[in-house]
Amino acid sequence: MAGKQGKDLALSMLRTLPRVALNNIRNNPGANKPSKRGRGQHGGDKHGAGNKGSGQRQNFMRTGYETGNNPFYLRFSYEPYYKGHHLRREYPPLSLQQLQMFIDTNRLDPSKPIDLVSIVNTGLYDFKVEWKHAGVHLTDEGVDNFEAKVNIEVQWASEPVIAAIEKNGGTITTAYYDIHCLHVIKDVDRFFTTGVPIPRRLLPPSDCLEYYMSAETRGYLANPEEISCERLVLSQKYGYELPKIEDNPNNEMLTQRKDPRQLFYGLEPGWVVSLKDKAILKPKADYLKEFYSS
Amino acid sequence: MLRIVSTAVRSIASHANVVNLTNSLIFKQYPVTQCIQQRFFGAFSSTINKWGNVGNIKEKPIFGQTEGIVPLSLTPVTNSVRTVIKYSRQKGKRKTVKTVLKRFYRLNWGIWIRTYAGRHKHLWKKPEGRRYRLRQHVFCNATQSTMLDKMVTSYWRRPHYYVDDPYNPYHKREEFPLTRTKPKLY
Repeated sequence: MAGKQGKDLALSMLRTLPRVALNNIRNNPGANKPSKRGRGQHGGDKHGAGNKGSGQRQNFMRTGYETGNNPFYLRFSYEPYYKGHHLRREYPPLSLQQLQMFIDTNRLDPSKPIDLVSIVNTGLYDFKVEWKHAGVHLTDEGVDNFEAKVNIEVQWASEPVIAAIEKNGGTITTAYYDIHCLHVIKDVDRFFTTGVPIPRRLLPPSDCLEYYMSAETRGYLANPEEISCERLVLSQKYGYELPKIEDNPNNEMLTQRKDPRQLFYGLEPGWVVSLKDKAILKPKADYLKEFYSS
Repeated sequence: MLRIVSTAVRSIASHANVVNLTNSLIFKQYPVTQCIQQRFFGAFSSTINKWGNVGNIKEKPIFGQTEGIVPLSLTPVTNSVRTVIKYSRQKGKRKTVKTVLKRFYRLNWGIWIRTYAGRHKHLWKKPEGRRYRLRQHVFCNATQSTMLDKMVTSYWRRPHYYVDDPYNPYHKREEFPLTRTKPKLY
């Protein structure tokens, strides 16, 4: 052992030492608090509170109080920073970079229409309905690297995003989902186990009705002819040649749209899906059919 | 409380029937109702500050008597409370200091912004450069931001994703190497 040095010496010492166990460890310094208050030389005297003044009297001042000064948090005039925040809907962002990544890693299938349900089912996009989150806001981050050709339905999109998707030969729609539908979409499996019929989508509220009816934003309530006109206008504005959807072999997939009352592709409102029996129950009564179609 | 009043009134009524004097009924009703009023406020004195309509109680006619039932010493003194409430009365939760949200705005990276003090005052004697600076919104420093974070609840400390929000470009600091959260794309 005498000849050993450095690492070898340390390891050989470690071999002879006992293993670390409950019987040979001790607390960190200061981890044990004595249950009694010391007197005199045993931590008494000032009891750690210092000499004289605010500290000794332990008058812990309230947050923001400045002992008579005009406090900092009251010093400035009002500004409507948060005005109407309790009414505004929030759209958690999803960037084009992320969308491309979802497609590249087979989380999303570009050969089928992409909607909020399929984005949530990737498990990589999270939103909370109770936080007034109302769906996907597709942002233009990574717009230069976006190459996929998709038929996507999002809740909010800006002009460069629409241009990026249409430049690649894809189509985009902006659609509104009300709060009940969002609860269903948030956890589809759980919803189907409840045995409740698929709800019908409600129309957008007045504050965003214009957005979803406008052809420039590719709203789902807009006139399709106006949308095809706006596609051409946007391609001229951004300077790209608009790929023709009609000549595309995937034409049928790219032009597929949901009904404004429809929640899932292939399923209609009012149907009950039983995952256990692998069956779909459809309403037969006329008043139910009328209700779910209107 | 209603039961107390009804039993009290019933006892008076029975008492009055025995005496058969309607005048004495009205005369005796006064001190009894007053005593009930005092008892009520004594037992629920903590609720006085909570009620917004305490002032109305004084004016409300009780048993036909409109005035002088509530002594002046019981009228609530309303102080505006702007301090942090760490444990609320109903749920035992922290509460936000509302005045902070009226004056400050939190950016998602942790800093708070504010306006300038005196930005609407004596503008006639301030030169153009100073008036321009008064129109700006500026950062609070780290100590102040930490303090303001303590004065609001977690709702205000989490990011909010409003579309078309004028402050959206300022919530991230990807442009500086030290504050960048994601690796830069080349």
